[in-house]
Amino acid sequence: MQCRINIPNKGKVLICKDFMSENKEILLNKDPLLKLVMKQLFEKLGYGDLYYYIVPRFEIINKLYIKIIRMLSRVSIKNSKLSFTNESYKPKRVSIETDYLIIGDGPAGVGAALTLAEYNQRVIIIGNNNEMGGGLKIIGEYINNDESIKAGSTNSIDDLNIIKNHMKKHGEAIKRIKGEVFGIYKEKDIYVITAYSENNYYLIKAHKIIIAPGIMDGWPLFVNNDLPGLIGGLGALKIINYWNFMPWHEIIIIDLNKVSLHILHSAIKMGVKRVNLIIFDDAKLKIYDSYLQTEKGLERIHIFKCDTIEKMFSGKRIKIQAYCNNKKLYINGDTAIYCGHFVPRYNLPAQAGITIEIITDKINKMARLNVHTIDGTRTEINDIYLAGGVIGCVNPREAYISGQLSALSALIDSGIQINMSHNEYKNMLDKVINCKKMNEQLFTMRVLNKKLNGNEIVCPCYDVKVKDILKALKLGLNDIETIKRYTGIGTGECQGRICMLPTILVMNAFGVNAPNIMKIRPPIIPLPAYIIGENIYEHQ
Amino acid sequence: MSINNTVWEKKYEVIIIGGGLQGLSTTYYLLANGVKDVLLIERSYIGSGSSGRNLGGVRETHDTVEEIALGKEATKTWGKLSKELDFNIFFRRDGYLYIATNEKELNNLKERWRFMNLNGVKAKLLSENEVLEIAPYLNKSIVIGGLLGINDGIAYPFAAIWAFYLAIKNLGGTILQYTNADKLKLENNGTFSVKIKEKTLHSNIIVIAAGPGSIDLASTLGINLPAKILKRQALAIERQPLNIKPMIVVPWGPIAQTIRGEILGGYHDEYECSPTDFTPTRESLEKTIWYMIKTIPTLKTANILRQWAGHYVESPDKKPIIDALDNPEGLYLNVAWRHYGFMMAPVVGKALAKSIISGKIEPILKPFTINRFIYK
Repeated sequence: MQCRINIPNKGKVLICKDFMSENKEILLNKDPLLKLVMKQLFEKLGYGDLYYYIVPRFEIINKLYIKIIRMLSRVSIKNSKLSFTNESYKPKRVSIETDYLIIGDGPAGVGAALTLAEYNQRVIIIGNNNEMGGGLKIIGEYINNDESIKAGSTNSIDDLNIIKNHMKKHGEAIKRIKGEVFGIYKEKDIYVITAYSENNYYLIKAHKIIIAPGIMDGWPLFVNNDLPGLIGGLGALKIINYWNFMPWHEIIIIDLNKVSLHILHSAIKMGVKRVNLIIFDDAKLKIYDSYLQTEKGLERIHIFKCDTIEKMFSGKRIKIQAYCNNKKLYINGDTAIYCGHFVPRYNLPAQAGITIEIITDKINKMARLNVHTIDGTRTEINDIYLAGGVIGCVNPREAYISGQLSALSALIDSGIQINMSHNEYKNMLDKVINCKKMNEQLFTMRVLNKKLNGNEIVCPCYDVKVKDILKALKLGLNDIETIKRYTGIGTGECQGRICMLPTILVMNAFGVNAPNIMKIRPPIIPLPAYIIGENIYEHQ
Repeated sequence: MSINNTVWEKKYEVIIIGGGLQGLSTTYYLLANGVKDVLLIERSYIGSGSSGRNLGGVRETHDTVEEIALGKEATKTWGKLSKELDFNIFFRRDGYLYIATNEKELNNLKERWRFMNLNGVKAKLLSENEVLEIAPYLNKSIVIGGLLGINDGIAYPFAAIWAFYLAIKNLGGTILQYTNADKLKLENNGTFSVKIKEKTLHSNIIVIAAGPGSIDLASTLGINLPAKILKRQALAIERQPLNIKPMIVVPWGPIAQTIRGEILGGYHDEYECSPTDFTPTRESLEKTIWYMIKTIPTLKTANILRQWAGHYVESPDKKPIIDALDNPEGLYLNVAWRHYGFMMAPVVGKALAKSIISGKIEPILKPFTINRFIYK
């Protein structure tokens, strides 16, 4: 496995190769300064020794890449918020008990927290960033009114400020914790949620849980991609909106949906010279055409209607080979931003025991994972509720309402009288179910290639290619759990977040139905061993 | 797997219940010895039980005569298995390295070594320095001595499972996956019927090798197996450039590195659970990481990837129950393997297949018959 970084004015540089291979230092040795910078950066990011560590691609997309771009745009490392991993460092074990735990502090989580606080419940809300807000921090300017949580907000930051003020009012009832959740365990009658932050290892005992971790950027499957010539839509939004910084002159945006519109909007505003927008579906163009027409820099947007994307070449610039009416087409750009599909963060609900359905459509070569709810936000597991992006409510307003609804459902289930008419409650329920249905149509994953040549990467952690899966199928090992163990998909650093859907698609494309998703095992995220530490559990 | 009608209409010579390595190897050796109609039934995918959840250790360093006899045969068999089945099972004879961390444990190891030596096990007592020479990554402050099982080794559990699976397919055996054998019944004519969904299969001979499911299954024929189900857990740490060759056994549990570089371990902690309970616990995660870091300090900066739970089926004397019953005749048991079902499977499968063909239990399996629990 290798990992490349696209550095402005320097082209792509290989920074890390698998420790199993021999020529891992070649490119780095050519540039001693870069080597030094990278080494320092890796150490500071907690990846340890650059030459031995394998950096999971998944993390690069979301964290490392952004941090490196930030560093290269002359933001001083000293002022940045990089966390340190100290060898002798031992996190403190903190036990807390609460009535309600909300996982995720985006619009959905906050909506639930505020509703619960109104009914005088003890609430803990846990988010993995220094500041609350989740998606609100990256969306930026709203493109149309029905996104805003509070009528009149034109920007997600306005909404965030309004919400923050509300949270302050309920300061006593709602406690916010910064931490990354890695496990949901049922111990006797109570749920124990394990999480960690820089200083603490949290054990949170909760009677009811609302899971609202948002959505995660999905990854294109059948493009021979090297990172990070291609970056995910939410990753790009983060770079653009967090630091108000657009490191590219000419960009390729793949697929059209709300996230790509936000990127397009910001890109035009920041003076990008040309936007190449690749779309696959006329229907989507119809949905979003009215927004596109109102865009000011319309002449800078070039729309390519393609049937498939075949290959991606990475050099100094990105070149995508696409097909349009059986004609080859090359589309260029400094970077390509993939907004094609969303994978809900199904690993959290799956670990809690909630069914994840696979919905496949062989004719259109599509597959989708759907988190099963029995009634809006209620799940088949008692005392666990879902809200926000994970059930398909992706607009801030939709997410906020789904959060409120989950809180209300939880209150009703524990026998608390709510001050709301049945009709009002039912209207909210209808809204959540409707937006879920609508998003189901938009967020499906497609096989980009018409013809698979076998060399397409399915699993970036272990470099598993389509041909490896075919080999397993040919042997008659046609079960997703068996394929997992035969090829290694789902066992790497991403634990199936990237590779599960592609595998299911490949299996489907070759006529084998995957009846189940592979089992999701705790910890939900790769968990540094020092968090649990040597002295935290002392043997008796 | 698609099920065609011929599967249902046939009467089988042998039906084996349980697609772990025990069931698979028994099926394979039956077919290899000329038995034609053999059917294997597995309720999930093959190797989904303890056969796929263990660390892959194969050893002869046991503590009783009968287990050593099996173990010695096992280490020999595993060495030849890749060739025999024409599939790389990644068996490496890297040994078992038992570590003593105090005087008491060291004396215990010495005693075990004397017994093993007496029974022809190839094992060697090591000093502190010798241990650290073999395993320089170990925490120097905890090691005071060790014992190396020289013939022992590690295989990749799933490779072994697929090797037998493919061999069975080549010989024309039938394997039904995702099929639950709910109920066994002894018919009036002395044959057995197995109920699967709404259909019924018939056979003269039934082998129960269904791990934790065996207890309920045997009870449908009125047989009470003296066994209980325990939960045991393990976890995997991401690939590390450590080159841990032998299976390291410290007093708290084992540590092994897979061929891919992941590091596995699991705290010695077992408690009773139901046969369907596979949920890993937080306590086990904490304990396991604690002893793994204590043993190999550099693991501190590594990431934990996943944890899982499996089952031990334990008889009162912690040894397996292998038997050819007289009443009902034709019922074979191969259960309660606790922690070493995987490593013994090729040997026991072979012996059990021979026993089924001859109708008499093989000498190597004699010490494990169910009679030993019956008061005479």
